Amino acid sequence: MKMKEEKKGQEGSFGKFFQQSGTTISLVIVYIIICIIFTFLSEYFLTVKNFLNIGTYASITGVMAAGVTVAMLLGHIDMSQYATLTIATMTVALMLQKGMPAGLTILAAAAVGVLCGTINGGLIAVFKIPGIIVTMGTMQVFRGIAYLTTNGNTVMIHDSSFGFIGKGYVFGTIPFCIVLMAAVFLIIAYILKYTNFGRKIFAVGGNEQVSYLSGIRTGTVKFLGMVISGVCAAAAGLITCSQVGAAIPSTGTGSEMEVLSAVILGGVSLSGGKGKISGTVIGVLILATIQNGMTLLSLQSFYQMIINGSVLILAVLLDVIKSGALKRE
Amino acid sequence: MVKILEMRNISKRFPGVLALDGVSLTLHAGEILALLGENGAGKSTLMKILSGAYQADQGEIFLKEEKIISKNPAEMMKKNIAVMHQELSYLNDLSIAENIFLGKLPINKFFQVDYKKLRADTKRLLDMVGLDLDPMTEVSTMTVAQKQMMEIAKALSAEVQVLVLDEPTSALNETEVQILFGLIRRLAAQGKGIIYISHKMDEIFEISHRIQVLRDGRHIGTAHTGEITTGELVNMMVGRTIDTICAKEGRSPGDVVLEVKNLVTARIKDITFSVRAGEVVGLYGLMGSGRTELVEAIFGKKPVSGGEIRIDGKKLSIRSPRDAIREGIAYIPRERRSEGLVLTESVQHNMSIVHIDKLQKFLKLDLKREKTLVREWIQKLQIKTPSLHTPVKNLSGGNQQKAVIGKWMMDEMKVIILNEPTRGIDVGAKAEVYHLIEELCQKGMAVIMISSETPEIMGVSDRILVVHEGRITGECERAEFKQETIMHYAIGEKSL
Repeated sequence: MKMKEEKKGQEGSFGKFFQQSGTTISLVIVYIIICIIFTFLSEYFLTVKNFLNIGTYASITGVMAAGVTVAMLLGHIDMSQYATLTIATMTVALMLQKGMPAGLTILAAAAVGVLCGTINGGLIAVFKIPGIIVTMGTMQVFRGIAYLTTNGNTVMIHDSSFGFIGKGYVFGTIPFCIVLMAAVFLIIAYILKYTNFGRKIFAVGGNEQVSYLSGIRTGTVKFLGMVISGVCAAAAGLITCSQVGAAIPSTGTGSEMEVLSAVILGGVSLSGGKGKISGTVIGVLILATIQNGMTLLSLQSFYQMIINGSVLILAVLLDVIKSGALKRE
Repeated sequence: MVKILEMRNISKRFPGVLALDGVSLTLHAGEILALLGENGAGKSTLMKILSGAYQADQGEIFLKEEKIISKNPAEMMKKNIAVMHQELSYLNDLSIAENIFLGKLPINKFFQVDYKKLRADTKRLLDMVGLDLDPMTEVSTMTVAQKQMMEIAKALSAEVQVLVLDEPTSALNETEVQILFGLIRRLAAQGKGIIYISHKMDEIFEISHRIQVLRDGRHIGTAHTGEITTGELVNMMVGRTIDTICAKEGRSPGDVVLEVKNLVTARIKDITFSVRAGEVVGLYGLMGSGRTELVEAIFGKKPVSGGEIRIDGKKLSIRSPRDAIREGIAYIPRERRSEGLVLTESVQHNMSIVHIDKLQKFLKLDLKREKTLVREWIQKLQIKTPSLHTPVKNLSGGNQQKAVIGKWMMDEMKVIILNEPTRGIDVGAKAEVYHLIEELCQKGMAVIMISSETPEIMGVSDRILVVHEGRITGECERAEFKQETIMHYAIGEKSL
């Protein structure tokens, strides 16, 4: 079965794109089915404007998911992303309030991302604590710090040039945040596919012992992976506070699992070493589209939670059935 | 004497290897039978079939003349066959009593664990094996020897009829060994059948009534202890014909490349040797002798506590495999699936990973060059794979092994260490590995090869070093190669 896929894949670049994992194809099919259903249910769904809306909505989750994909390929999870995002937004808003230039605040946000990622990565790489535990801890620590910056108060952003990140348009029609998300996805995809660092990420996530014996500094790779995840969270923070026009210290509380859901939906293995960035893109799109469709149908958000959760389990279930793992017993 | 256990014509095939070929074994009540053979002779496989961990492809097992079918370990335990494996299995955080009675804890009328009874029952068993500890002692606080005695006590907790002990003395000192032997003799006197596996000749002569020798998965012979000499046993163990190996004469080694001086680690006690360019040094030793530890120390995987390692006369400080690789040392590990290959990754990605940094050109991998190099070595090593992108887990054992070797070929290395490179691969693939070693030699690399098979190590090496209990106990030049000599060194007997 696998060999057949291989041969088909040799034929063209389009075939190659789908060759290694069948997961991506089945996700594309699931996505198309979802779109067809919503097209029938709502006349507003299948329009360019609506899809740009979906993209805008997806951009925050998307940028974070790109980073967490790297962490998960390494076999670790980053649950502290929303908290990192919030520290970044608070930093940006407070600096803008003091009249500092927007460009400088962007650098400061990036620094916050690097710092938070360094703490996570350091604990994982040096002390060999599993990522899920490290980030469960730092998630709360970072959140506490975010609240402390303003004693829990919201900070308004009045800088008009800063608003461009979340609300600006390129060529008059395409929201800048979609371009930003696409750029982040492309950069991560490039790193994974065309650099030695990307190869090491897959190797370390696939088998750390083998990687170590092949001369890879496994700790460094894990460390840098977590830094990437942190920086992506901070970048998502820039979009968030620009769209909202304010920095709110409670941003994203309770939504920590959404990003992880999208990545798992996209077929990235929780144990590391297996997954594709294209899967993550579709995972993010599926969740954002369901959200959008249900809003169009004016369904209560409580239903959305039920559907989101069910879609995640169904998608993973499909994969389990397809891989034949159930037959082994 | 009453036959308590009979295994008839047992065969077992693993992918590429016939591990057991029609082996029969008879055990009488009250008898201590020693099972003897080199690593890979089939002793452990035979015992795993007896314990129910493996199923035989062919053959039958009779317990007291009654045919039994082994499906899983739990069932065989119910039939009162207890196998104590080389690798101990216990739960570190529980007490001795809980470990021994796991799954069958005594319950009182309130459905609570009856600790009084548990304590008393455990104490009785511990007294039997001569372990003077409180039954509630947590296992993690015990020494390895104590854990070993506990495992035996556990085997005794059932009304055991057949007890198998696989290398039970590897972690015991002389006094503890004597306590164990006393126990074994008592059990035999009670009419139980005991199968005793060991590499230690003196122990076998001391404890057993009868000795059975296996070799290459076949039954070679049985003899009553006392009617056979060590020399005869060694002959039975190693008397193999050399067929697949073309012994190359007349290599001309160059200068010394690798020098190891007074190397000390946790299990290595002062080892000194050197390897020349274009020379193959064979490293022989039985399981647990320290041979793997030695090469892992050279490669930077195990910490070194003393001594020095030099390459081309330069003293090295190797703290990790990365350092070793930088100095030109390559290591092909024993466990290809857990140490050699990232199974989820493709053939291409696995084979280029060691030298991936050298393929990076500024911001981009030179994918063309990578493909050319990988293709070149797939062809040279004749790795059979549908494509470069096939996950390595889909390849056969022999092809996987060649991929592990291929990982190190993309760049010039000075020293190449192969740990059991032909383990579990078929004859054809073996021949290709030997051929490759020959080529590496001609290129002027210094080669170290660990092997458990004496014909193989004699066929390939220029010189053989024998390791026993962390020391080199013997060294032979090609002219003096003799299986009996090597085996004598390996079991720690200095003189013939």
